[in-house]
Amino acid sequence: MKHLVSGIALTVLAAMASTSPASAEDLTLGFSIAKTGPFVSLTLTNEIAVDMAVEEINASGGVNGKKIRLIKFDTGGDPKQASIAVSRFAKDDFALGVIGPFSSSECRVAFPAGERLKIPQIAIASAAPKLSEPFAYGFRNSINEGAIIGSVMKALKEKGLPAKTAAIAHATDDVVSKAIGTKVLPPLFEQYGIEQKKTVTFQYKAFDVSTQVSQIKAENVDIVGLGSPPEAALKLAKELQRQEVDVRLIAGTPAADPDLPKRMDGAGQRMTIGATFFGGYDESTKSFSEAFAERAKAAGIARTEPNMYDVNAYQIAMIYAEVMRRANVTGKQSEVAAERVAIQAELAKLKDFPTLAGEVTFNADGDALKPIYVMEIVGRKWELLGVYNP
Amino acid sequence: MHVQQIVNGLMLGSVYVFVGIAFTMIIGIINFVNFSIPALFMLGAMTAWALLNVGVVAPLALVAGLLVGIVASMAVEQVLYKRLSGRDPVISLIGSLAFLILYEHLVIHILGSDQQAFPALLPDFNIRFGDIVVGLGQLCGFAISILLVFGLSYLLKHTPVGRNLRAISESTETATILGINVRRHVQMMFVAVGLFTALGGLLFSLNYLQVSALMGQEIGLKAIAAMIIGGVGSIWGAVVGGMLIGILEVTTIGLFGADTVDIVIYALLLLLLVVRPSGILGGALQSTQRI
Repeated sequence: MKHLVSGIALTVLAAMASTSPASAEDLTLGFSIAKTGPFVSLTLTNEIAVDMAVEEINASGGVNGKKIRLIKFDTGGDPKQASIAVSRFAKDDFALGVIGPFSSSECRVAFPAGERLKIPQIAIASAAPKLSEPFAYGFRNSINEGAIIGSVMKALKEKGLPAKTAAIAHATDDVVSKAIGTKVLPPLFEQYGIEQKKTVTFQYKAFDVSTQVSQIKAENVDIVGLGSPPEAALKLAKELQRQEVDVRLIAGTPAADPDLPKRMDGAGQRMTIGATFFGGYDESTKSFSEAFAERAKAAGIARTEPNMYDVNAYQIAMIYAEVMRRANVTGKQSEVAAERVAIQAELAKLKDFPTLAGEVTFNADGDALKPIYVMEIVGRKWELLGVYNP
Repeated sequence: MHVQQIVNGLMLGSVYVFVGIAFTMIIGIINFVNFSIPALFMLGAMTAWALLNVGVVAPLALVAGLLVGIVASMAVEQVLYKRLSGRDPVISLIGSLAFLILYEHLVIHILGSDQQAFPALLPDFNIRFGDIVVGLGQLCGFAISILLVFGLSYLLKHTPVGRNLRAISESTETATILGINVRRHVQMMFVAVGLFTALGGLLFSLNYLQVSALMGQEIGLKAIAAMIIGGVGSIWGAVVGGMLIGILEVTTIGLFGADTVDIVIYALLLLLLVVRPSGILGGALQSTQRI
């Protein structure tokens, strides 16, 4: 009995220690990860990138002489969990800011929660138009899909690639995919004088898209504007190949998976996307990619190439370090509320901050402005078509 | 293009038929809604994919997929039927749901939750008639389903095993009193369901060239709807229900978009439950055509 009581006491003490707030020496950041869920192929490795950034920052002396401490919360890509995460970071962990959440669906609920708690959040991938506009504490280290796909259209035009007629195919059960299909692509097609002949919809979990592809096939179009995560893009491309439809898919960031050409296994040739990172661009991106690959391999993750969201997450940690430096934050619990306000003010002012893959500026809506890399699938890899500034 | 859409609908329906028959076999005999069936569908495919991925030769990987399906089905029998039969049927029902989630999350834990590309074992697993493309995987699946339905009808009508199964489906107690080894017959049925469902998963993967830990869920739900629409316990009902849902799904997507599919299918299901609770073929067939 005595052993049992001391065992319980030790367990309770250990539990208290693990949930206790950060020590005075730490600057705590929350990190909303999604290790499962609809975007898992894009999100699974974000943790590696953030760990790399935090280790680099701490190894070079930290921020204002203090180390950064990460608290991680796995949302599984579920908006409800993303809202719970921000609440926990703000109330229980005394975090100064949040890296994440990932998607627009999560931002829709996490941003209002963060706004009430006055804690800055920088989303990793959310790109649905105007989503961050109403929120002073909601930032997105991503470019809106209008600018991304606009760059793709610009590249097609500059290269003289056939794009007279188009169809749109988009998922209806994902916020950003639906926004691409209904709000981004139609005006872009109009702007570039492309005749939009058909719109087909699907749910990203649907295993069969043969009906939609038959509808596209009947229209005999030059391009198909796609709003979907990589999994659904993969299904659509395979079905297009099966039904022998020769068409160029164009897409935005939801489909920006560096492994997609390999996973397509011959399908989706010439698929063209815009992204904010291209691993082979210069020496710094190459060296980041190599270091990332080593860690991914050690973690037993199949994809060893970083995607743009890994880089976004890495940049966010670096951005927090910079703005905390500028705001002279101390990490003291008594100062947390005031320091969050100071961090928010510095984020809103951030301009031309040099990071891996280009300079980052936050615009008035809290969305990032940075270079866009347009690439297409050739064989089993992405090839760069051009770099554009929004 | 309309012909292609009809083909798409029939091929899609054949996937539901395959799983719907598996549900029907088990409900018809022991009156047990086995929610683990979608997981057996997934296990066959994911096992084969994982083995192919580490370089195992295709025939061995496919056979291993079938074996894992059988073993997983037998585990359900051992836990839910052997130990819990005779208790409140709700316990078995919830238990089978627990198996579904357990199997799915074991696979997520071991192989991840990403959707994966199943390798094309044949360069083009389709046949073409001009512009019309027919998936061989689904065609084989449909052919096997129809053969199975005929085989089951023959088995139930003309063989001692069939008579025993019909007796068990009427009353396990009476069957036991008549000297029928109920346990052995039920085990045989679980093996058949595991084998048949895992085969369905493999054919699906060969055709759609995709696998994931959660691949069985949507198919499982639609297969249950197919079974109810066709008539619970009727093997021909599962065929009719599956095909109807496939055609309905394709037509609805074509006319109103993908968001309305579930509204139409499940509204039809509810309407049918109100108007004809026994389903389209429920009650219309002789007992030898039912299980």
